[in-house]
Amino acid sequence: MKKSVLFVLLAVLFVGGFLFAEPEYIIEDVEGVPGGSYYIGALGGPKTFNPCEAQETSSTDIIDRMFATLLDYGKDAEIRGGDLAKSYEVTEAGNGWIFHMREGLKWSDGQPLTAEDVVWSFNAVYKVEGLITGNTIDVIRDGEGNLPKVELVGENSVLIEYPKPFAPGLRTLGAVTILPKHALQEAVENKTISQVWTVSDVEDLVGSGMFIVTEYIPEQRVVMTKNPYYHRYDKAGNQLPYFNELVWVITADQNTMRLRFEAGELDFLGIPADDYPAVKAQEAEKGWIVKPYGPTSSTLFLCLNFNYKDPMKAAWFSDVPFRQALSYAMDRDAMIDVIYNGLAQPQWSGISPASPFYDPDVEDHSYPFNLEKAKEVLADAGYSWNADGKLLDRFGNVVKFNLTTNAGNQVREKACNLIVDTFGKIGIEAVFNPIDFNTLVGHLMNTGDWETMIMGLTGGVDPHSGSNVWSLEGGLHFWNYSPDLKDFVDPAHYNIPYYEYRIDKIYKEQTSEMNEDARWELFSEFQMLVADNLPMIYTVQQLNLYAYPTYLKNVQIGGFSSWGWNLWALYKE
Amino acid sequence: MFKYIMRRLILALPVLLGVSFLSFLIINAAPGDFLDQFRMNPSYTPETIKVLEEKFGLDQPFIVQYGKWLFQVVQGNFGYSFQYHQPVYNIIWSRLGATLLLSITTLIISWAIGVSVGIYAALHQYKAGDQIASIVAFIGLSIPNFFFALLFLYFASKTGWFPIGGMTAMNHADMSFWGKFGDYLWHVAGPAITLGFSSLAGVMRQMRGQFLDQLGMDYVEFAKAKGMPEKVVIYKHALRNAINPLITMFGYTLSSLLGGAVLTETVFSWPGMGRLTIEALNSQDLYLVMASLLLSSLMLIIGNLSADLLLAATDPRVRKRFQ
Repeated sequence: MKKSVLFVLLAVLFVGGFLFAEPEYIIEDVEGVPGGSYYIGALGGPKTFNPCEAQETSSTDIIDRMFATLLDYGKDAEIRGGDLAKSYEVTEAGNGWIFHMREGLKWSDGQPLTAEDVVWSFNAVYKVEGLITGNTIDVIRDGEGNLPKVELVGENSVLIEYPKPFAPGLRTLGAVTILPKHALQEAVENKTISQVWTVSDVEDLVGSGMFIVTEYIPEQRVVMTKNPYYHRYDKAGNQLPYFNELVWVITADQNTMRLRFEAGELDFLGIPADDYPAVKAQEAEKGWIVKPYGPTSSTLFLCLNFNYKDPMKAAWFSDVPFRQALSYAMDRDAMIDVIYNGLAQPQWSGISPASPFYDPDVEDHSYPFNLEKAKEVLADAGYSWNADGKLLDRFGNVVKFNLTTNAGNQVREKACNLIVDTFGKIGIEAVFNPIDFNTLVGHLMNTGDWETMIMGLTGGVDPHSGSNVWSLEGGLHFWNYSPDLKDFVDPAHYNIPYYEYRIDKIYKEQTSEMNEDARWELFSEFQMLVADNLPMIYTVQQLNLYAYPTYLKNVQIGGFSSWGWNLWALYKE
Repeated sequence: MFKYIMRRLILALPVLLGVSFLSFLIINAAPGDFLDQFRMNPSYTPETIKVLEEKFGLDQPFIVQYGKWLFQVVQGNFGYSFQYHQPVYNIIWSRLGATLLLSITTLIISWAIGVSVGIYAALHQYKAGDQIASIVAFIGLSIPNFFFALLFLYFASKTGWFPIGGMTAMNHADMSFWGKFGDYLWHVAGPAITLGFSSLAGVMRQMRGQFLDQLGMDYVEFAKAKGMPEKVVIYKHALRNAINPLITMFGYTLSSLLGGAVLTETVFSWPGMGRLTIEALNSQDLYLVMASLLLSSLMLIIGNLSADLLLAATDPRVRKRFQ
């Protein structure tokens, strides 16, 4: 019976294709039952529904479901193929791509979605300086800061081209939100784009994604309804997503979130490490699936100010053996137990293990906890200890420095306390002094008045997203800023170690390296350089911890994509 | 009387001006600004940050920013929120209903129960009822709000008698008028009981203490001695005198009507002003913080004024001074 229905459907599609040029839908190899609502918790309410303005995840998590992009990304953030584009090809010169749009695409209000919208989004919005708060303009620049040329080709294709080949471009361009020209053109021309699609303008929203926001009750819930024109179907001919509604239940407190999940009001729960054992204990009884899903993409590291105003301290901080000893003196296992309840793993690389660019060999270049080796490295490098067991540098100065982080961040504060403790065991006195986040940023960016600190940054899938951190001239190269960039760095003391120079080179070379394997090799070299020389000393990385009821089907969770990449396939049994 | 009110309102203007200037000064003196979160984001270039500084007017000196803001406020525009990209007025307006609902129910719980139990306790001093009331009130006073809130939610999730936070049920939109009304009450119960319970003790002890003071006064003795009925002595004379300090206290409570209660709101996912303000403070959303501070100052002034007017209504001596 089922088969014959399928056959008839296929036949209809086939014949229809000849008669009306049927829209070129994406057909997914999934099965499921359409209908129902999916309830998910959010720690904060959205600030805006405008993709040009949204910054924090409380807004972008929602907006990302509302808009499709040129390319489709899978479980491990790999490019699965086209989304709005049905295919793409590299230009002859190799410096750009031509995206062929799917025919028959429609916005959620029924208006056609064509290459015209893509060209307009880039040329009239993203490439215009100062028009929007979002930083798409920075994201789409190539390694030298050039913006791409975007133009219509043929009937329904788009050419996006850089002056020179730009390897990370495909991934970035494919993920840019395509805006509806017909709905936003007026606002863009009046330069009022920042003020449209606020959280009070729900009825104006037009999207191309799976769900469109249809109701927002401030700080309580966001109701998203299935987009009637969404271009993805399952093989049985059901339009995806299976769910009719996606409801974000705003729950500001983690404990309340857990209570709501336990009461069945939420269908999915991200679990804080502290709560994991308690949730896991109820797994069988409540019919849940509770497990860790690989490391998150965020990082936690100790960095030292190479250009600190006191040359004595700057000399320690920029000394490679000194930093290697510090890495040996960090008890990462204790951090994992104390901070993350055992649900984390040590981190050695500047690239997250969830990224396809991660090279596992980096673990052989690590300096894991070993106080004896720490002392050995220091002794070999000319450091010594006085009668009280305090470490002395090569000139006989007692090694003592400040350690800071942003106050109130419990993870970082705990990490600092553990570090202070184990550094003390090799005679290093680190004085922990947390300060307010904004003051810390001021010290980092404007005065250079900090010694060492524990910081964290979020990494992207493609390590190119770290170029602002790793390039010598980068705006976040805070441990060794170029004097050209920051006045507080004394050019007389500024020094570029060879590894920093090489990393900068790698970051420049990789942008034009179109061969994926060669690019992977470059980033592998980068990871070894970072692991050997420790410009940042990485600590530990938390694991993603999730719980969901067994009646929720087709769940597939990856490191970068988290839970949402195949939201269209989820259904309740 | 009208003249008196007008005079008080006009005198309030310089106070508000001073409050706004000081708040603006302090917010500006605090390190960093709204754009700090972008400065620490690897995908923002310094050039883009500069453009944004200009766009938000954060590159201008403090006094220019304040002057521009004040000029707008005089015209009735409280500025744009950096986070929400819409007028501050809209955002605050959207939270006003929930905030008032919670604070008024809290007020009713703490004052209605507090005053009546206080009177009962004073009239039955050192008896079992008095002791029990004191114990219960002090338990409420000493349990931290967020903890009581969590206990309440745990209780709610185990019994199903109350919702687990929020302000409306999922199917709220489909309910009848009275259904909606009941739904609100059902949801507000948790946060209101939490907040009311903790301020109950203050009101109750104050009422009891004041009332006992008055009952021990010579005029009460005298009234009793000359044969005035007990009820009249207690309720017409002693109680009226005892209630004065409570009215002043009530005035101050009015000022917190729109302030919200951050911790309780957070645990109960209640969409009130407290969370809005704390979020705005954390992200340094300047004009939203300013509007919320001004609103609180305004409520303090109005609360004070209404306390004075209420005093005049109950106390002829005060009324005399107004004329």
